[in-house]
Amino acid sequence: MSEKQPIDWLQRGHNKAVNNLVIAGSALVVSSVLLILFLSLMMRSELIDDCIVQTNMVASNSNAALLFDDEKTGQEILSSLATSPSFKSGAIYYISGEVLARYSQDGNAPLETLPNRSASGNHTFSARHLEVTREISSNEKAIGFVALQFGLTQFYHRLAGYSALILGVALGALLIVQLFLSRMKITVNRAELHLDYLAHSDPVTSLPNRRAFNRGLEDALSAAAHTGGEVGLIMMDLDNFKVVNDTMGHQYGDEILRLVAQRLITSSRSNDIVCRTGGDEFVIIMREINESIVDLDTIAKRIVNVLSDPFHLGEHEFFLTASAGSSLYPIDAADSETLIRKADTAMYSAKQSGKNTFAKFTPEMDTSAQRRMVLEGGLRKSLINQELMLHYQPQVALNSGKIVGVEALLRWYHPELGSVSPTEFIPVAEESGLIVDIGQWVLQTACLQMADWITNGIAPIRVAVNLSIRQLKEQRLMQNIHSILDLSGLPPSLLELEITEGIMMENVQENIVLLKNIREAGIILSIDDFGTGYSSLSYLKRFPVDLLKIDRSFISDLPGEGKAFITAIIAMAHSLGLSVIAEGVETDAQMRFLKEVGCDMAQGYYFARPKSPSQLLDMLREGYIEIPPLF
Amino acid sequence: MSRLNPISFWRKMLVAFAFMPGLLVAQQVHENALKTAFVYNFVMFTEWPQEAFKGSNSINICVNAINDMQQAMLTLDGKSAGGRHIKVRQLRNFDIKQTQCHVLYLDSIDRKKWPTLKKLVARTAILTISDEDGIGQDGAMIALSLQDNKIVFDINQTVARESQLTFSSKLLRLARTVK
Repeated sequence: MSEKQPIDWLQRGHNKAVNNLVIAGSALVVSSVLLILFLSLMMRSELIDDCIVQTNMVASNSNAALLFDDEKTGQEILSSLATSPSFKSGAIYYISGEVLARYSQDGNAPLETLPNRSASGNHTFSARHLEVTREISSNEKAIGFVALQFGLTQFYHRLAGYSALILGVALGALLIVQLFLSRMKITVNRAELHLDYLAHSDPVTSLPNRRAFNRGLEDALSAAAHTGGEVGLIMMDLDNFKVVNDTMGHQYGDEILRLVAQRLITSSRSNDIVCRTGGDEFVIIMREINESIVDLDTIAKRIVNVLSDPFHLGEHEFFLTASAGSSLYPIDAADSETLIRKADTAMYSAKQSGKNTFAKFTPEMDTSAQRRMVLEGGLRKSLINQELMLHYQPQVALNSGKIVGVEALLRWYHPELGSVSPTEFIPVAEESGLIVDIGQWVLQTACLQMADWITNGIAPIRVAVNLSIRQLKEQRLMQNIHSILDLSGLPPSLLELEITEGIMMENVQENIVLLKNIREAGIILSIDDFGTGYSSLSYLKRFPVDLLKIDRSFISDLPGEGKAFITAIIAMAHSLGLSVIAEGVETDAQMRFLKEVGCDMAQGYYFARPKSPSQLLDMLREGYIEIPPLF
Repeated sequence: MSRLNPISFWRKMLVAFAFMPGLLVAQQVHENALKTAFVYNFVMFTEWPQEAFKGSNSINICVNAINDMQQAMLTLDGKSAGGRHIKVRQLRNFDIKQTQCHVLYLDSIDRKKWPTLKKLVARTAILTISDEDGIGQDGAMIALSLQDNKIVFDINQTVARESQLTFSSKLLRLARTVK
């Protein structure tokens, strides 16, 4: 894609050089002409002066000859001018106009006509002659005059010589300037090309950068528009590159990016343009695809595959995964911007549907992406518009049926969209970062609610709130928790914070510190969705947690294949001194099994659906949910 | 300009009279005028030493009172040359001691007296112009003569130098011979 520009530039540079040369040439011609003109005027006035001096000499020498009517001497005086190269002819006249003597250089006609004369003398400069007249005086009286005619041949020869010299010098100067300019032009062009390379390539991988990508895509699209061809766009980003970069350092990160670039180049066709458009974002422009869809799919899948092979760097081995999305011109979009957006949507969709995969753009993605945008926009206003509210689901002790806590669950009622499912809007809130503010609101609302219930005579129970990864990364999390507890007056032991297993494992060292702080504040910690992630027992031992919440997917398998697993978890948790709570209990059989294997607590539709505070009030006053005996 | 006109005028006249040989007297008169013009021109191309003009600012041209030329010569009286006025003086018995002369015009009637005169004027700043061959060849500074019907002159610069007179090179150039 970049082959076209330099040629274009060189051409432009060449035209510029020609222009410069023409301008410089014109300037030189003008100045040369002026110089020659000036020179000719100088030479002319010099010649006139010279001839006047000669005429003066003749005039002063010839008065005696005139007085004594001596024609011969007059001629002698005139002939003394023979040594003057430009002298042609001359005559000495009496004051009456009668001629005393004439003289002419060989070959030249004698001066016949009586030249114009005046008291001070005169000269006439014609194209071929210079005629000078001078009075001859004696005893301060005019007694006659002398007229001399000078030829201009020599004058013209000298002028021509000087002109040739000046023009020659100007031409020489022009040639030198041209030589210099063209050399400079070459240097400048080289520098420009280098600058262009720098401006359009990524320093790490040497791949074209975002700017070059934009230009390349425009070029590819306009070329395709001409030929009626198709252009495919594959956009991908590395799912977990940031982790590598953060843990191993930028040098490793850069090295891996170079390896990724290599793999991308080798797995794409020679005609494709691989660009690095961002930190861990790569784009491939595919031109001239024949079996478009097949091509795109093949390459995109190959890329995702080839990137999931381990990367070896020194002694280290890294595993990366990539999510890729593709879009196709002109089917998916008619312009580059839309094409990029659609590939991006497809990539996002691929990421959503589990990483390390490829998705090609479909119109449905657009609607889901649009939906996402609507949700994000709505969420931004939800807090201010008081569209969010909390529902609470009771948690029951399986041995007694006593309500030992409630889990706060977020609900959103949008004035136009209606009730939006948390499974839909929570991820949007997570990605947009809105979860931080929302999470804060949830925490505060739940604490205030529980404090309120307690003041209204409800027996104190725990309220469980989910923490998101974003909240964990907030520096002020502990501070916020403390101020909320202070504000609500809720004892820390009645607050339970739920953190999912996946989040906990993401940044183990830091999380352990944070969790310890939370624990030391007297707050209860639970691991949410236990069993879906790493479920590493060794970590479990290191994390200062109180509760395990068995994921609802294991409970829904009950009774049946999940039995052994759940039995093992409960036994292990108890041996580590942790309590266990089962989520999503819906049937009597499930409840019975859990009670049988010694599960401490349970939560689910079987006992109570999540309810609004007012709906839940009676049940909380009661404090118990009846559990049928096992036998 | 008008004062010099006679030269060309008389020159023309001379040509005219050449075709009228009968009018000899008239021719003689015009020849005298021509010679007078020559004398005037000689004055203009001659330089006298400064002392020659002590007490007066005129150039005195002296002519024998009985000379034919006297009449013509008197036309020069009052003319100027080189910032000085010309005075024509008539000499009786060549009382050269009494009369201050700058130019002495001599011709055939002065021939006998010349040997005496010559001694008197020697080494004095007096320009001697002769229209007589004998005097001319015997120490006159400028000698007029006729050649091919034209007036020519010879210059004896040796004598002139002895009298501290200088001739303009222009004049020397016009002379037939320069001694």
